[in-house]
Amino acid sequence: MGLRLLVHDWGFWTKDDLYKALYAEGIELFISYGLDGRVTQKEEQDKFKEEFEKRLLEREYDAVFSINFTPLIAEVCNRNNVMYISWCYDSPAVGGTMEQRMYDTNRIFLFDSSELKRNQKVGVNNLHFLNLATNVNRMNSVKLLPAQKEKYSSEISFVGQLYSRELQEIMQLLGPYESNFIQSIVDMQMREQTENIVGKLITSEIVEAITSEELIEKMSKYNKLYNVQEGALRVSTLQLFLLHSATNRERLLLLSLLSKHFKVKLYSPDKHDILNEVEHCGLVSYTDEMPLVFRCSKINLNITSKSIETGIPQRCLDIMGCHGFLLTNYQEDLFTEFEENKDLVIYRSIEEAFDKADFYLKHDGLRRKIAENGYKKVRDKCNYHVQLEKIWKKTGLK
Amino acid sequence: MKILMITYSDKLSAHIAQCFETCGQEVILYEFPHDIDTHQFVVLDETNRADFSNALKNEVYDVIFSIEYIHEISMYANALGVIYLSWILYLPNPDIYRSSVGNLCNAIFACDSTVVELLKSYGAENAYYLANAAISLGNNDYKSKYGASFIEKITILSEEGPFGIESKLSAASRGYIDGMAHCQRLLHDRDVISGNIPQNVRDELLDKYRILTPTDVSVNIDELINYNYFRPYITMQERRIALASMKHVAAVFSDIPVDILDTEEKKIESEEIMKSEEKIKSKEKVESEETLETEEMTGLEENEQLQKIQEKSDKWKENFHDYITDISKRKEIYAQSDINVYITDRAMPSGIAHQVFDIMSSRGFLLMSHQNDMAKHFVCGKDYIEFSNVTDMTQAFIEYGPKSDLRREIAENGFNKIKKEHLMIHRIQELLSVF
Repeated sequence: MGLRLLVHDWGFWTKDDLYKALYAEGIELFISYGLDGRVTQKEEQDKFKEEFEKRLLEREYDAVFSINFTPLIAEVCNRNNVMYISWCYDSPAVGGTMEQRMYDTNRIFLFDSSELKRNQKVGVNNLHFLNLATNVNRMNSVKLLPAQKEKYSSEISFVGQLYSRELQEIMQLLGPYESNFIQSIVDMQMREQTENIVGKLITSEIVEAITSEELIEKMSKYNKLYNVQEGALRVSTLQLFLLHSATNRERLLLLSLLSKHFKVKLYSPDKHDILNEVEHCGLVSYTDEMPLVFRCSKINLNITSKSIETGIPQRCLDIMGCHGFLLTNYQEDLFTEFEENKDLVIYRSIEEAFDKADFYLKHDGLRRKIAENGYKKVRDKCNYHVQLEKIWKKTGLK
Repeated sequence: MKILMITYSDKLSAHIAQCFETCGQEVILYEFPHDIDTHQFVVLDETNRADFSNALKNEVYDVIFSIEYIHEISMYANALGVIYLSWILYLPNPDIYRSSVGNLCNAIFACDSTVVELLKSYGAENAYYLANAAISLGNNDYKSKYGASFIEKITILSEEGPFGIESKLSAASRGYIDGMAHCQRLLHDRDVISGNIPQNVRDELLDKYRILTPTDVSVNIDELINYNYFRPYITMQERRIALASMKHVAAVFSDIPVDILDTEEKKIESEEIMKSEEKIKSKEKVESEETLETEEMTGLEENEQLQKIQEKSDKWKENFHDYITDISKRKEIYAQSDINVYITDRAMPSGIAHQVFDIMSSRGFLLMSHQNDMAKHFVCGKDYIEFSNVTDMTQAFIEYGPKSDLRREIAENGFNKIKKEHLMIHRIQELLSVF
């Protein structure tokens, strides 16, 4: 294709698949390693910008490329009039100041349509909707040894974080009034499967009411998650914390309910007391083990983090890409690529999740058919080649 | 038909009776000797019971009709095999929670679609939606006397109640219900309370604040908690917050003691003063090495800022007036206001309050809090404007305040719709056609 890209590598976990796809397109890649664009202190930010600019000016590039949007890179690219493409796999993804978001050199690709609309509403253009991608060839090339079948087999599996530890630590810092006030909002969000209401409910008055030095310090400990800057708690930070809390609650409730009736395996660094009938299997590697989990489980659960409002998370594509049967919470953007009950199955309440799990465990043939349909859709429509083509077209690089 | 109509000697009852007669029905008016309050569970005293029984003995009626649903009337009607027509126009009407709603003699009309669904779920087979309406069209011409007006009572709840300063609830339970109230206040289009109060919070609430009900009431207890505590509190909060944000620009006609608003104003004022002082202090810190002249200027700025706040603080009181009970005087004000603000009581989850019809029938420009049932009859942006929170309300002031022609157009659209489809006679015709 003849393009020359400078790629910012911050350690994102889909890099092997992305680089392989980019090389396959004939793109000349130069990878910038070892710089962390998520730093929050001014001194460190200036240092990052200086170093990145040095690398950018080493040769002429058609564009800079990164997974997720890095405002500091946007600044450097804008200063040097170089196109900056960011393909975001987190949500919310677009941070930084309004000025940084609105640079003419930005080309931001979001997989969550509601985040897209929110930004467009406040005048951030140069945004495009683009679903994520997966590498079905790599995932299906992982060999399943006979001894591993027993290890990874289950009626139901869930791979993901529970966020329990940090949530507990943070909630403990709040008094009984404040923690219960927050909890009522979390419970409300948990009941709302199709809408992010935390955004409407968390106001600056609430943030002010619960802020304390200890709370800020504790949340700073999880800075990469909560991006606490300059010792202040922002509305967006508290919103994210509450969304994680609601996710935590839903995951615990659903896993607990299912485990009382079915064999459930949990692949997570976290544990929780109420999951005493769940088999805790610890972490699995993304490349070597996760495909086997998805392939060997009769039902693969996806319980999307509430911070992703409408988008299709990477997990869904990975599950289907491994011929796994997917039972997922409702996410509006699923319908941009898939058909419900044909390619995957969706639940809209915990009770419905239970009913559907029960049904599909009793209907093997139907379950396998749906898994196969889902796999074909992901193979044909959500692969890196197809999605990258959309990027080149939108950016005019093709 | 021969209708025995229970009346409360008010204009509305008399007008409805007239509408029935216009539609060819025979109406005999009946008034209880002792007043009854349909906002509580109605328990007729012996005098009322005896008198009502006599009224029924002396004549044979096809229908008994009342504004609001009254449990004991339904029991009488059921025993006698007479149809009982009720039209719920004012909420709360707690008798809807009583077992008699399932009586076969009932035909219950309600001005709120959520209440209709509730009635059906409680076994009322014949429950229908029938919106409120205007009694008459106003005959006042528009005159811009008030930039905006707000006419409404604001109930001040007991300080010892569950949401009061001296609430008997634990901090944990109080935190949880405050959170729920906060969510409900900001989420206008759905009920987030009923069925969602955690067991421990509910138990403590009922332990500390008993809810006394007749023995035949068997509804979801959360619904009663919602009606007794949450809805009045959220309404009060909502109206006070709205008032606080607009009292410098709107004429307010309310029964809320000025002291309370004054206290709130002082709270805002003292926060503003504190913020001003902090700004001044931080400025002083930065400029601490500069000359004496600069320090003197800072002192002057401080005085100016405080003076401005003080002036602002006093001025709003000039806009504050007593609540107006006389409907014709209210309609006069509606016609003389550029913007009429209305915030529906949360006892009415979806329906349209009569004040909305009063404003629109007076050719008033209406700016109101979102109510789901408005969309059944009116077009937002064409006949009226709505808001979901105080920020939206303020935005609407900014947007529509300067646009006199547009406001008049919208007010006129609303007025014409009322004239065509939303007078009481239209409703009575609709009621009779359903019935």
